[in-house]
Amino acid sequence: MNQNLNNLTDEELIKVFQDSNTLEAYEILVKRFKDPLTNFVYRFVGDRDACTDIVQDTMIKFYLNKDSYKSFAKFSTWIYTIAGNLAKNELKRRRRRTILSLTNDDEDRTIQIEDKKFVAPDRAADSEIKGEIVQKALMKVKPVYREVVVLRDIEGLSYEEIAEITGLSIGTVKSRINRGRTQLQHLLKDIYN
Amino acid sequence: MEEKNYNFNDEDPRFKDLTKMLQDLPKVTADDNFEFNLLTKIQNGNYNAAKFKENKIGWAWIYAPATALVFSAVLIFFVFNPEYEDFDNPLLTNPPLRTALISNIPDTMIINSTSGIAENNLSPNQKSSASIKSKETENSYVAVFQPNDVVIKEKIPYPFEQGVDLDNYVGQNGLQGQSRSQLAAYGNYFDFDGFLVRKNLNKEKAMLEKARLDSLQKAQETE
Repeated sequence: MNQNLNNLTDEELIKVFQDSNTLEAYEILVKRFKDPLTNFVYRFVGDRDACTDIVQDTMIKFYLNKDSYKSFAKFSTWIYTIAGNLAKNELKRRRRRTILSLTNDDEDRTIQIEDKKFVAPDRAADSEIKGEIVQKALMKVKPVYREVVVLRDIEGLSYEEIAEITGLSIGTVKSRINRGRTQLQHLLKDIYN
Repeated sequence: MEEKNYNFNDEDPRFKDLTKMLQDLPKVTADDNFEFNLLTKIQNGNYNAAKFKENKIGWAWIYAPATALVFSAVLIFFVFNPEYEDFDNPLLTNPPLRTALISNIPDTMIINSTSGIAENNLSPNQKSSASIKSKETENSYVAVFQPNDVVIKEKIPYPFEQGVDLDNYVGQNGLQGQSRSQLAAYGNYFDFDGFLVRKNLNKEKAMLEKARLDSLQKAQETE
């Protein structure tokens, strides 16, 4: 049974889960999507702990609201939409917390990013540090641009899929990706030049 | 999940290095105990925070602009439409005649003014015009309840058919046509001619002044 389920597509698996409430089908879908979603949410939110919670919440929402998925949509875009919305809510909550916080820790964060500019070029070549710098630069890009850049350049989704996930037109998606890339390129000019 | 290998060659060449760098970023993976934690949460029912709440709020907000628009339109229609005059503006209409109000309510309430207890039962709604007959003295008074709830105490008119003109009455009996003020002056009466001081004209001075003005005029004409 489990062998057969593994051969099914995402859409067929969710159909099985909807019809017969088979937990194995749910578990297979979780296995397939936990890593891509974790990667997407981490690059979007920039916090490992928050990222794990968001992906867990995404999977729980999927479990509880499996019937709200309609077969005409791709399962991947549906679950990316849930994860993206939860990630955006988390970012909003953080922004509110930063505004209301009495201790302003923005200065510390800026100093950390500024320090990275002075890392020696040979060390910057190291992929781990480079990844960290890219992540910090990503976090400086506006969230509306960051989301589409991550979906396109890191997750490798098509423009059509991104448009479906974000609810935007393809033209807007392309324009936002372009703007996000421009911002990112400006921030990372010291690294890859 | 299906592996995706999109061709990035058709992307803007300006961002070639950037997209390459982003694709080469190390993939972040979920924790090893991710599924265990997830299934534990589901089995324990510890997922209240994950329930959909956005949909209810979202649908309600969809109708907010339309509702606001309808309310605004109705408000503008009733407030600014000059043709719509279904109601009487109290500032523009004449107040109802008092006599009409009085005639509508025939009830008369006689109150013993010493005890203040009404002899007749009069409903409070009918108090716009009611008469109160006082028995404190032999004189009778009428208390008139006006529409604005002001009570005026009026004396009941005497049962005379005509009034008496005092001037006429006195003139006929000894003043021989003198007015009351003339009578009060005891013979020192003079006609009041305003507050200007009256000066008698001095004819000599006037002639001198005229001669002076004429000579001046002639002198100007000869020049």
